[in-house]
Amino acid sequence: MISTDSDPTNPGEDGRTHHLDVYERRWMIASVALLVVFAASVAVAGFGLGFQVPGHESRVDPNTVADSPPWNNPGLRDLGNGEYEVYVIGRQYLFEPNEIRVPVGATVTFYVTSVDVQHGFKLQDTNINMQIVPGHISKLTRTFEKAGEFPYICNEYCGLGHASMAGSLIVEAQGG
Amino acid sequence: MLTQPRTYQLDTSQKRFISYHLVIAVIALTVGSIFGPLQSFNWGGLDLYQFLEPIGLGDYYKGLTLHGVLNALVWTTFFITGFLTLTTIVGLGRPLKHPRLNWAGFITMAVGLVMAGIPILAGWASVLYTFYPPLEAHWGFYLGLTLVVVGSWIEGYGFYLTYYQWRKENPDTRTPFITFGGLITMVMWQLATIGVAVEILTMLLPFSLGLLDGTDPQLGRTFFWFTGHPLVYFWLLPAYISWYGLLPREAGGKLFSDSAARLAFWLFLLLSIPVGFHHQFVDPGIPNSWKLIHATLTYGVAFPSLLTLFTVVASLEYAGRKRGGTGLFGWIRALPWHKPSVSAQLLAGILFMFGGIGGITNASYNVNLVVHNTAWIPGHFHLTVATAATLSYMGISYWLVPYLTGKPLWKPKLAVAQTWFWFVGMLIFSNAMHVLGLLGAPRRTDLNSAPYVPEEWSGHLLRVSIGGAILLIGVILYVLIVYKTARGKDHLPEGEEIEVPIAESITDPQLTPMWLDRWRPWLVGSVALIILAYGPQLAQQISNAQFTSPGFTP
Amino acid sequence: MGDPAEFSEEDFKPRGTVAIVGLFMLTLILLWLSVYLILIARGVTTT
Repeated sequence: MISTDSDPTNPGEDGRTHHLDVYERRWMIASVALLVVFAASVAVAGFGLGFQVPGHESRVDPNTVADSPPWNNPGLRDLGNGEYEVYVIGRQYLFEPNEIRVPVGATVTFYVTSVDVQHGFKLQDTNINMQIVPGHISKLTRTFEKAGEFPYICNEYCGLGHASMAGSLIVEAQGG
Repeated sequence: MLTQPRTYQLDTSQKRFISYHLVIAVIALTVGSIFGPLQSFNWGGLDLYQFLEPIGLGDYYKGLTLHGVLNALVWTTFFITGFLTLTTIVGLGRPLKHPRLNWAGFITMAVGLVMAGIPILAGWASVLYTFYPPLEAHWGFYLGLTLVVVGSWIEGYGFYLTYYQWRKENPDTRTPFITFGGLITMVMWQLATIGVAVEILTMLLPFSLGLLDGTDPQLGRTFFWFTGHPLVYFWLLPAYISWYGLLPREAGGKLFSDSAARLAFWLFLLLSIPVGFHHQFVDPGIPNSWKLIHATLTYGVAFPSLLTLFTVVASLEYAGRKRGGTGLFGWIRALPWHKPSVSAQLLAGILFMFGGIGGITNASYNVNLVVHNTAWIPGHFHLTVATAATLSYMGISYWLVPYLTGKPLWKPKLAVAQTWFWFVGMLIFSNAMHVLGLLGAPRRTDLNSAPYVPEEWSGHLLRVSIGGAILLIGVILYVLIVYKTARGKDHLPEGEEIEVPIAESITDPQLTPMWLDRWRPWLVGSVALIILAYGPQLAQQISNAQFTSPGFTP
Repeated sequence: MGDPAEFSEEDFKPRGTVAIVGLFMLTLILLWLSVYLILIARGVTTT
């Protein structure tokens, strides 16, 4: 056991603080202050503006999840009022579906799971970036205000064919 | 005076024991570092793996596994255990209490290395150094890694017993700083590796042996990152020991504040471990409230690094001014840049400032969405493990190898150049990786065969290759210098023995408050904080565990 | 380069260190903020 007993006669025990340099103490205070400001900024983005990370959603059995709805038919669901859900299955080495089309203004909730190993789901140029863990569903929502093509790529190593695992979300201009 | 450096001299058998650690460390670095540049060339569009196909090394991910395991795990662990043996013996001024125990630890590590190495080379363990389940490797890989860790524990027990005996004989003396730092590093490591030990022994080993049909990948990640983040501090703290406890003397000065140095080390023990969820911010199986708690604690562990910045720079400023440097920054030029060991550690520290900035970014909860699993992450940890730690270890070995062998350093000017190659190569490589990450490039991906690489990445991908090429020169020079020194015919002239450069402190360490040299409160606090930060969520994940994921070989 | 004899341990004030950590803090704020602003610019994601 590595522990030591105190020495009551020790000269350092009198609560003195001048063993630390005054500039050093100021730097310590400044460091803490800066970290508090960063934490506040993160909180403003997270709770004021709503920038959230994926949280706990629900569990599934990776062996059977693809057999029953909605996962037996992955892809887009139109919920009306510009709201959509998309169910994406990751497997070595592709996403199902590998193409999704939504109109401009669509609010899309991505549900992603894996039927084999861990994958990643990153929708380029957005903050949709999720770890895909077999047995869990990853979920994030985003609204697409501009037309364009957003590749989604697997960004977690999933085996030898990992680099080819990608798909594309196409946001189509109204009436296009 | 207790602040005087001790002059305990190692005998031949002690020097040999430490040297064996370095030999394995440098061999691991040599082999592992071949593959890093190959990856960087692949990103630049030059696939050299095809030429390694005939010798069974043509696979990007086998190479990546070798690079990660050998460089991040083996080079570091062997170097660190060897270095901490030195800090224990020389700091306390006495031999190891039970040298055979430490030998047993070292042999266990070496056996583990061979056991893990065979399946990797055979292609049965291309699971990278994070080995996320349900990717499944050969059981020898998991058992081998376990033995490396257990062997390092055993060496640690040898340090503790040696320290305990010293403490009994010196109850009122402040623990010499380098020993103090080494012991905290080892204790932190032994607490931290409980996570990966549980993961391997209860999940992955039975799984790979066919005793379990499936595994729970989310639980595996949680156990892994219990160890995975403090692993970074296991790499860094030996460099910090050198920056605080040795470098000031090498630079011609003194440690600026003994108290601040010790406080930083205790805070690393306290805060290195209960922060692992910041690697899992985008995991689906962890409630966001727990992620926020770990985000906050991760900001906490940034504090001792910020403190380290001040104390180390102030120690160097003291040295530079003592050497005649004047003005606000003139002391920097006055530092002994011509000493390879000093040059290496100064350059390592400069790049590490950017490693710290990246680290605080990674820790910032939702900001992590921008960088998670992108090239930013390896860009970041090449500034920590591959620069702050590795370049410092290189610098340490520029006095340590002559110290252990009694031979002068081979071509010191070339050694200085080597440190600059590493610095410049890493600057280019790491900057390009950070930028690529912000542009969305994924990490650990054979980008040469990826279908989605846009044109705007290409300039940065080329810079990754250029950085990799310069780093390759850097590592070749390092290995050459170490080899030529160790195998050199000349011995140091009589009376010119090299001393371990133990720095004095400006303030007498005996004036450092006793609470900064007392184990019990800090140990109890560390364990309590781990239980608070991990206990409830870990209990939840364990009780809800579903061992349903079958294994997949990559 | 001055005269080493001018150096006095008692009078040592880490002025250069204060300048360096100050510059470091400025760099930290700027770089951190630039990534933070990328987050904001890429649009809100909710759970």
